[in-house]
Amino acid sequence: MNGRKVTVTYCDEFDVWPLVANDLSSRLPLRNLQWHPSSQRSERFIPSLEVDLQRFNFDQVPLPLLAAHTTYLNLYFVNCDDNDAYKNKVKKQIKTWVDLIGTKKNQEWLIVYVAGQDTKRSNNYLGLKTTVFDKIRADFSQGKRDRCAYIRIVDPDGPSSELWGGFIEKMKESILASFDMQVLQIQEDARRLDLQRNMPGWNYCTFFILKEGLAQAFEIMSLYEDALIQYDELEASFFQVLRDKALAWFGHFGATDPGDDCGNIMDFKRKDYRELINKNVISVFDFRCYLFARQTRMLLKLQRTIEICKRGQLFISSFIPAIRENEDVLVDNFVESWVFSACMNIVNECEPLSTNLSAADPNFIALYSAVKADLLLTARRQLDKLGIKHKHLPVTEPFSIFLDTKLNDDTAKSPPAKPKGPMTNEKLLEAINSVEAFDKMYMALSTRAIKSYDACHRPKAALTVHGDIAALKYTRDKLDEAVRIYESMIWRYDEQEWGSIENSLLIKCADSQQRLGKTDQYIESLLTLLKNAKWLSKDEATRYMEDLLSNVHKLDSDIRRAFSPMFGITVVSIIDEQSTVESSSVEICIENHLPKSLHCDNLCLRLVGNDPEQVWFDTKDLDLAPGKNKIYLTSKTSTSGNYVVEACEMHVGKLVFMHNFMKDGQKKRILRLNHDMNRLQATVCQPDQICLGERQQLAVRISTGKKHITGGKVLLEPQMEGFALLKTEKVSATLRGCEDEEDAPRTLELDMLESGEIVLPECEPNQTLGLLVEYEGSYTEFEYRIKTTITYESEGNTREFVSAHSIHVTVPLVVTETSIFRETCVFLKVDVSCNGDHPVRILESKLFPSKSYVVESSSAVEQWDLTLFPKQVATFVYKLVKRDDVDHDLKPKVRFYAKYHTLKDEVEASIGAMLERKLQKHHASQHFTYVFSKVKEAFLSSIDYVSYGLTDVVHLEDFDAELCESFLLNRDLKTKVELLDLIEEFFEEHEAITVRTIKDNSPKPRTNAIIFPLEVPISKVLHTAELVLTNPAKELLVSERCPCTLRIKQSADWSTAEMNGAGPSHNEFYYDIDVDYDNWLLSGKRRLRFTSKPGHVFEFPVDLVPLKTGNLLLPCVRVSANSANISAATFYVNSAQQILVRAKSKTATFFVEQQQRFLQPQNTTAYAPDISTPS
Amino acid sequence: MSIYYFAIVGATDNPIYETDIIPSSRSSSLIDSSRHLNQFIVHAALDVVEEVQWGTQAMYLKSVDRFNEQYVSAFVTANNVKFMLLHDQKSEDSIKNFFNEVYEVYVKILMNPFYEKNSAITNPQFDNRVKLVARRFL
Repeated sequence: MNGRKVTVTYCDEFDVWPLVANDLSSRLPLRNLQWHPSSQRSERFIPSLEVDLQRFNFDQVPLPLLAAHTTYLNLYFVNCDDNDAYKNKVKKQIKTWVDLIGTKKNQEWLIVYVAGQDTKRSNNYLGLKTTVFDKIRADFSQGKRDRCAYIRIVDPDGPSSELWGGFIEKMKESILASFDMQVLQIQEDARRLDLQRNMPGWNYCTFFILKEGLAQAFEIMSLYEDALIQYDELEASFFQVLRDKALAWFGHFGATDPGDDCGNIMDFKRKDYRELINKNVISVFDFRCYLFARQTRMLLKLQRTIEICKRGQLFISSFIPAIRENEDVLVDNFVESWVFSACMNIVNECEPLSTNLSAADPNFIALYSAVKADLLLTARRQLDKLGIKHKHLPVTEPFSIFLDTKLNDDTAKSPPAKPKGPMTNEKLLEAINSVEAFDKMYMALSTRAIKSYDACHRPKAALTVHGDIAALKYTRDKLDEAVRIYESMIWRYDEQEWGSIENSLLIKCADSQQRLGKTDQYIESLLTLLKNAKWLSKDEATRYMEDLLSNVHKLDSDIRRAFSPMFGITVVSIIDEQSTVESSSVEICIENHLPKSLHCDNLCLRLVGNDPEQVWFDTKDLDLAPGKNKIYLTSKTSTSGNYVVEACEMHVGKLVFMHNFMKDGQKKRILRLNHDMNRLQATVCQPDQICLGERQQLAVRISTGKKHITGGKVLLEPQMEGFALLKTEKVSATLRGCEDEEDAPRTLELDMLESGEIVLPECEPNQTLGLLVEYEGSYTEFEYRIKTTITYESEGNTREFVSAHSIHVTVPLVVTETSIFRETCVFLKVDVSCNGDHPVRILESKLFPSKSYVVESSSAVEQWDLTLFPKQVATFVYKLVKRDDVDHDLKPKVRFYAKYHTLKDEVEASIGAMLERKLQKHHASQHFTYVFSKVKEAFLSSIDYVSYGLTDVVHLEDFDAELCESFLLNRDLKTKVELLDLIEEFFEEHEAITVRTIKDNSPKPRTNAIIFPLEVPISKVLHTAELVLTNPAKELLVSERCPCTLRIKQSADWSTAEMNGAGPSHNEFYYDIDVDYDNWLLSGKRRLRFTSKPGHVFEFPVDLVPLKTGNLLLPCVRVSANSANISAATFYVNSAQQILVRAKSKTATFFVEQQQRFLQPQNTTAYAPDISTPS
Repeated sequence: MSIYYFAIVGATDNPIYETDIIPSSRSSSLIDSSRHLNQFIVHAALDVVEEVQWGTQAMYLKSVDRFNEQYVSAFVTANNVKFMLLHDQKSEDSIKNFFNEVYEVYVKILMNPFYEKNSAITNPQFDNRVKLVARRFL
């Protein structure tokens, strides 16, 4: 039956076979056969058909019953040139042969006339003499079919001989015809038999044999596809029969023959199956094996290896239950052995073929690998089962999951009744006997499966196998390898959140790591296990938790993990009410999902914002009980402003759990922080006393709060361009107790470090430390930003205060000065006016002497309460006298000191104080700084201070609840509403505030002082000019000459040495007499240049002629310098002096008008109305 | 009635819902031990689903994988969420019906604006509905 081919017999009674055999063989196999089936089948094309040539046997050898009919064609080679011989003998011989053939079923025949080399086919044109060939043709051809062929020995035409071609064509035709007949017949038979299916006595085996005949016929004709269809139909009908339970003829299940468990299931000749079938004694097992073997054979012929594997898998898995049902009578481990063998058989058979196929088709390998991997894995799983059974493997996962639980139950109940003999698969036996062999095989199979899975892109399936290998390594105590494999694969389950699988693997992995002492990795594994705690039993979870806790401090390096799902975290609120908490706290809630309480070394929460960029709130050493834990976190940093909750970290030894609050999609949690009221606080502002013309200073005011401070550092960082703090060695400071105002502040000198930090002294609670720091900034700026960081030690803790300040630098007053020189003194006139639009109250004014001048006299009043409105000027005059000896301790300039406060400060300070009191009453004073800054910005900026200055009433009408609410956000609702209500109430209560309320509520009046340095020249060229009347006794008369002397003296008091030594041009002056020509006539030099030195006296004679009578002002005299560079002042003694000028006449006539009759008779005297009479 | 294991696997291959469908007669201890196995099988079968889903237009992929006598049937939704059913009896129609019904319930879950795609389905109603559907069809 092997390699069934079409058999063609030849009958060679003329010994020509040797002559044609080679020619014929060279034309085989037959090619390109076209079968036109006479039934409904579609046309088939056979590209190539192998033909088996056999010598015809006249003896009727009865064919074995079951053998398929393979003889389709019989050839008869005849060689006869002689007509007579033909007639007499050959014809008869042929006839006998033809008759014999005729008895056989469905066999075609062909007479081949073999002509000699030179014989002509038809050598007689005239047709008088026919050739033997023609005769044969005439004798034996029946009907249309030409059953005669003509060939030549050693055809001259060679391979392309037409004669031979014709012969081969005829052969093909005949074979096909014979085949067609056969198919028709079997089909007809099978159909008939199938119809009788339900009749009693119908035998499936007979049907099978019959139908298989058809399949075989197809197979012979290389129509494997059709053959496969036949087998598939047979299989279907088998299952049909099986379902109908009409399997009376399968008396037993079978599979009891030796070697059944490991026989090649693809070998259809392992047993004489057909015989068995025919005899009706075949077992179900054998039958199905045979059917499968035939099917795979067809598929093999068709080179469909993928289908073989697929069908194999299906066949094996679907057959297992049936085998299992009959397990009792089978050898030990039959199922395992059989499945293993079957899988391996299939893979081994397909493998060689597949290598060729994969070269041809790139897609093939993936598809094939997939099915192959499945088969390999199935085989491997049998090893799992056997391994457990023979104690090579423990009864644990993952090995035990392949065990059939039912089977386990059964064996437990009834111990094997009888020894059934061992299985026979040698490989398996070897594996059972030796652990090494078992492992080797296990590994080899698994690796092959993994490779195949990888080749077909099924990473997940491969992953499972990896896990199995790791488990084997683990069982064999090859922990290193196990861990390596586990570590390479477990995360992939984690990635896809298959927690249950992950945990099942991790349990072993963690154990290995523990035994290897890989603490870090062990803890990581434990963490992952606990992460998936919902897949763990409570006991397991507790155990792992304990392990974790006991190992966590052994960690070498940090391990970072997310909070979830082991912990949940929420930020509840911020608590900074002084009375409730010692210092500002953030309340968070951590939910511990673990079964046990966890001790956490450090828990910190990071907030991010501006200045400082981040703030940490933390707490140390706490236990997190399972469930919800309320935790208060405090910060060493005291700051204010809006901060976003960014991350939380929890340290358990080197284990760090982290949670990021700023992930996508999450709403930002913003907290508004206030400075801690109980701790150190600092403000930076413009100092109370500003001294213009000197280095400007900033006042840093640090209040220590309620804690003793042992030391610290202040760092001030300017936040603007062109604004820098000056480095000095020392910084002056004042320290005062807050409680007792009476105490004089202690003055200190603090060190400033290279880095610009100022070292703080030790301070008691409730003290205030004031620092003055010099800075440099552009004069055009009115606002400077500075960041203050104070790091200090308190009660052994390092704490920090961070704040960003905005400092307004304003000078609300401006001053202009004028100095007026007199011979021995100077008068200084100071004009003060508002700088800007805010009215200022001037409280005090003073002039400080300089090193050259003493303030000889000033206004007796020093304390004022003067409200200066914009565009008004206040003037103060001081008399200065030059010191005899220069006092070098004093400043070079006189300084005008004004104590003042602006109405704005006054109002804001009072409102602030009132608001603070209100907040304090409701335990919300921690919000004051923030709230007041916002309130000031929003509602107090529009107060009309001029109006307040005039009417003494402030109107607060600007309150807007919505705006107010907007800056109270970022706190919990309760705080927000409370604050909003308080502020609203405050504004309602204080719609109009009188100056009295303001003064009453004003805190310790913070007054500002400003010192203006004023330039008063020390030296001056001062001439004292005096117009001396030569004869003072003489009365002045109109039009009468009055001789005078103009005495000019340069004052020595104001001169300096350098002035004396100056060149002559510097000493040239001229005087100028300003004569009012209406009143005076001047005789002499009205203007004269002279050279003068300090102390010199010049006298210039001039004559003055008064032109009018009465008290006339003496002419004005000015002395000026000749050179423009020198300014010379003149002190004119006679300034504003009047001189009486009389009329010349010494008589006067007075008319007294009495009555009508005394009317003036002397008319002439009436002409002197303007003559005044000197008294 | 046999044991079924049903899982919904998100587009990122993460399980978002799983349940065992057990006849009341069986003890649940059996299920616990086979849970890993079920997950293993379903997880490994995802490979095949990925392969098969491109070869068909139907959402129901029929049986995609086999493990011993157990079958894995799959159903792929439009957003690449896979329904995986592990079963031992092969009755395609009822499984198809089961999948279709579950799909309807799943779409309702999906329509919930608070449900985030590919996140675990914890809705107890969904669980009940799935079990109900299972009782009807499996």
